[in-house]
Amino acid sequence: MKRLIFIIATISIAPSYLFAQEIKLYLHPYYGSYRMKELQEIQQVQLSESVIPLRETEEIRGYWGYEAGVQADLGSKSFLSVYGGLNSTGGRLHYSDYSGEAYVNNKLRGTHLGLQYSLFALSDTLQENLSFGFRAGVSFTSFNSQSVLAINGLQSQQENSEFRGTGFHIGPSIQYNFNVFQKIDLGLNIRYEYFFPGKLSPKNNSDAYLVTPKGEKAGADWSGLRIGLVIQLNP
Amino acid sequence: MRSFTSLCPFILIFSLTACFYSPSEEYLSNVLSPNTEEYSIRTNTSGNTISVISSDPIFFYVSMPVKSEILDVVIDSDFNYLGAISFNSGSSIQWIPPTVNGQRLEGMIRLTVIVSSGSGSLADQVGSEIVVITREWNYTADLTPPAPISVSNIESQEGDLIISWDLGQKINYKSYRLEINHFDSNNQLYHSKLVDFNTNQTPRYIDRDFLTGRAEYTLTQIMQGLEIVGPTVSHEYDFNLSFELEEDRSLTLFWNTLPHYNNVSELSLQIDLRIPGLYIPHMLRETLESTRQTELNTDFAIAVEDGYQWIIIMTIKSNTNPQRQIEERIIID
Repeated sequence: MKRLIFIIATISIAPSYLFAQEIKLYLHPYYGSYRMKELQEIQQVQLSESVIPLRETEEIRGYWGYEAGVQADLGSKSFLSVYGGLNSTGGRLHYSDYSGEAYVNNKLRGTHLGLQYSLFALSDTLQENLSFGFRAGVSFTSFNSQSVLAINGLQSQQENSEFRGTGFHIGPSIQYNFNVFQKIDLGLNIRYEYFFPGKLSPKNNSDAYLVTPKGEKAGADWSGLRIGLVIQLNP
Repeated sequence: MRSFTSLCPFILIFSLTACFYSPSEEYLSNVLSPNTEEYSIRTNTSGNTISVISSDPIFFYVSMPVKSEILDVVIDSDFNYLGAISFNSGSSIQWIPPTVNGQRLEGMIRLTVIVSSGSGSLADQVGSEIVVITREWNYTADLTPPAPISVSNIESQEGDLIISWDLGQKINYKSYRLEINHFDSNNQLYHSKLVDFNTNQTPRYIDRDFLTGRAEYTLTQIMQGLEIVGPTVSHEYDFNLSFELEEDRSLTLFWNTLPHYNNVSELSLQIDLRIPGLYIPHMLRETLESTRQTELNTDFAIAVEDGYQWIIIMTIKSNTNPQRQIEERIIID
């Protein structure tokens, strides 16, 4: 949480001092498809090794993410943005009957921070609306696996495992904006982010790390397509 | 002011953290809770009474779903003796019942069996779902030996002997034995047989093995480490075969009438004479046949040669009774 507040504060205040020029603020909810192959494999291991006939009720798949940023005009129809955002996804193994329930909740949360350089299209008809960009940044991921067994009225046990990792991302984007009301623009943003995941280590032991069934380091791979709206405020 | 304004989107996105992915899909199994009617205990004895007459183990059998297993067994009784109880991975429980020599134990015993439900539910799989089965029996244990028993009635019926006896009021043993010995007219043992019975069987035996002469019947009760032999009962057959050697070297056979064959519709009489030591079964055969017993002669004369020992075998056949042979040895010098 401290990290999140720090990121938000940094990307909010820094551009005001870095760029004396006029700045734009934007909010960007999007749907992201996340690769997460290694964590899906780990979830399959959790499924196969369970003595309880758990079912995979939710695969680790795409989900909504949120991003906000500050865009500064560099001139020559180019802009530099500082952005920060939050991704989340997860999966679930579950079983229940009249006697109780058991489940494994796998939750992934990612906080990302980065810079994006954008250039408006040179076409006369599109130059006010269409822009291309390229971004790079850092991401912090937390992976929480919670196992719960609850027998009605008899017993309940719970186990939590939390891992954290840091990775990097790069990717191109394309965005189309149009004005909807005075200083508010609405845009459609499509981009692809390629992710370089780092190892996922237990919270208090950075030497240890999560491994795949093949014994390789497992990471949270947020790579994938992002499609979403951009609500931009031009103060 | 600008910095504050620029914070707004992030305050908004911070509030969106509530929209983080949260797993919620559930799988609800339709497994059924255990049906207590599927769980029961039985033993070999019928009803609610266990009568112990020896220290032999008693087995209890637990009826339960296939996936259930016995977790624990507890037995208690109205008296101070519990015996030894054990179980394995199957569905049977072995109990060495309490017995005290010379003392009769009587009272209730209660068997409590704790089994896993086997329902396949989550609680069952983690060992938290059990079914407790309890059953009571009236229990008596009496190892004092019973009085000896003997054959009480022997009846001829179409050439067979129907042997019967009474087990008495106190049957604290499980099995007993009937010893049968047949002697010919020279008091030579020619046939012996042991037949085992248990106390659940009808106390009766049909003796079809006799040939001639006399039979002896002895009943022996078999208990753990103890055999109680009853008195021997002897029986003379009512069919007799005899001979007379005439001066002209002719042999005349005599036999009595066969009253217990009176109701037989067909009867034949066949006499074989055989030389002992040689297997020439049909060297000489004379056959008398009649469809009515009343038409049978009671004597039959044949010529014999000197220097041989003859064995005369009389065969009685009927359509309602197994073939019977009556054998007499006749030595002619």
